[in-house]
Amino acid sequence: MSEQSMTRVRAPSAATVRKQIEHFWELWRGAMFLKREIYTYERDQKNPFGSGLLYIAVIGILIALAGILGAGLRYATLPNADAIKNVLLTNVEAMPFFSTLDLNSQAQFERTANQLWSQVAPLVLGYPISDTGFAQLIASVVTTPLGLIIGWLLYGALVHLIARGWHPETLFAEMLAPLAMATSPALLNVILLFPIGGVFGLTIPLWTFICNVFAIRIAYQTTSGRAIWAALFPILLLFILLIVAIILALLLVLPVSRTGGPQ
Amino acid sequence: MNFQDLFVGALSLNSKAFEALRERSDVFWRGFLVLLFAGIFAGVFGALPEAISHVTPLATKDEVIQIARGQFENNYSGPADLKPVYEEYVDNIASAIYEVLSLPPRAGEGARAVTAVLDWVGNVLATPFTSRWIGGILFLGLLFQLIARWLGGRASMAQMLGMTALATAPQIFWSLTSVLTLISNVSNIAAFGAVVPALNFVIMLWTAVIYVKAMAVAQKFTIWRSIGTVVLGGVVLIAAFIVFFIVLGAAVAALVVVTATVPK
Repeated sequence: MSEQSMTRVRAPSAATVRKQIEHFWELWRGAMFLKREIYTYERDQKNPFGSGLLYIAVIGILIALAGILGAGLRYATLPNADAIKNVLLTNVEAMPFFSTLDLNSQAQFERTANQLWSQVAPLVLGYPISDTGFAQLIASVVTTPLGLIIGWLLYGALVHLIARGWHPETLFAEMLAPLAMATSPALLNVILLFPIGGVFGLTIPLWTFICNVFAIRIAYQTTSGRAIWAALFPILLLFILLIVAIILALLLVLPVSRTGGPQ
Repeated sequence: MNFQDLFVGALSLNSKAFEALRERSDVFWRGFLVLLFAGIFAGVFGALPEAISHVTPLATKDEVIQIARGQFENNYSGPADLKPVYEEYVDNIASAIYEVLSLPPRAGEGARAVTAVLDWVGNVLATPFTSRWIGGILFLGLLFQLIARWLGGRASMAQMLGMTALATAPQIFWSLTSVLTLISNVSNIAAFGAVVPALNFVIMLWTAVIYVKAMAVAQKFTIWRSIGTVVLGGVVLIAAFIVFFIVLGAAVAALVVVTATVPK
């Protein structure tokens, strides 16, 4: 291949990158603080689906990167996980009840404690303690945006099911773009880069819900009451499905436990 | 209207500042900036005790166990015959906590200071986003907005949230109560600690007054209608809790019935 026929790919200049960051900041700020122009701008994009998809992907990647960096910081600034486990186990084994157990029960206790530790430690310490956990953490750069995108599409589809009748001219993609803006509060999770617990409580879900209502109102040019109903519908549906699943699981499990399970 | 005018206007219940903010297209952003400033300023001092605890040398193991025993003695309210049984466990638990806290960070003892700084910065940055700050504004804003619209209010969601965010301005003085609590704990001077509840009460009252005023301006209500919205919101919230617990109780009862009727 001659040099002339090759396509030249130039690295983006600092000014272009800065412009992109400024554009993202304007979108994020406008979406968070319910600026009508930002949601309308997204709805009226040439490719609203692509634009929304890109926005959510960037948010997901930023959250994942902050999570990886945060896990690294915790790994460096906290004591060794095995050392913590050994201290806890030694002190538990020094408790009066432990000496009352026979050797088999003591061995069983240690096995259970080790299993429990491998499940609980990553949650308490904030960094993975196994190779699988480490792989999952690195993969979060892909899985976090993917999860956000799947949630966005499912939620959007359910909203569209309810709301399309109110404004049939609104296409699915035209609704998805403003709805993508409503994922903006999730970016607050980057603060968890610092070694602090889950301090936000209901802040992110509530803010997201309010942004969802705003996005639906603009996408379907409808009233606030209808927008609230449309935004609540997927949540209510999920809640009902969850209750039905729990009841079904109980009905299936109960007879088995009554009969002592399959012989 | 600059930020300083808005902040002082919020604290002094200046009607002109409130009305000027209401008409801005970035009302929620501007209101949030007041909350962000007050939240970060309060957080700077509020997060100090935890950060200090990271770099303060630990007491000896025996001292920690003695403190744990003392707290158990003071707080135990269970059956007397079980007290000696539990007492044996207090030493082990206190010892475990002491030993875990004494373990060196993976990056060495020097990392304790880094942890303290990271913890402090994290808590300061997170303060405005906790349920006590923006979380409360969002929850109450959503609740009162629905009721206010029903009562004839005319604010948009952005106006409601931006205006009521001004109510967090007096909470900047939580920095003062945090410092007083810290001094009281370090110096053991009870007078400092005694002032704190009174100051907290004044801050809460100030917050409530600004909230009612901000909602009145946002919704174009009279002050009395704004107070009525808050009262009605409280009633709705209590009713919702009652309904929730009735439904929960019914679900549990149904589950018990199902469990009892499943054939053996």
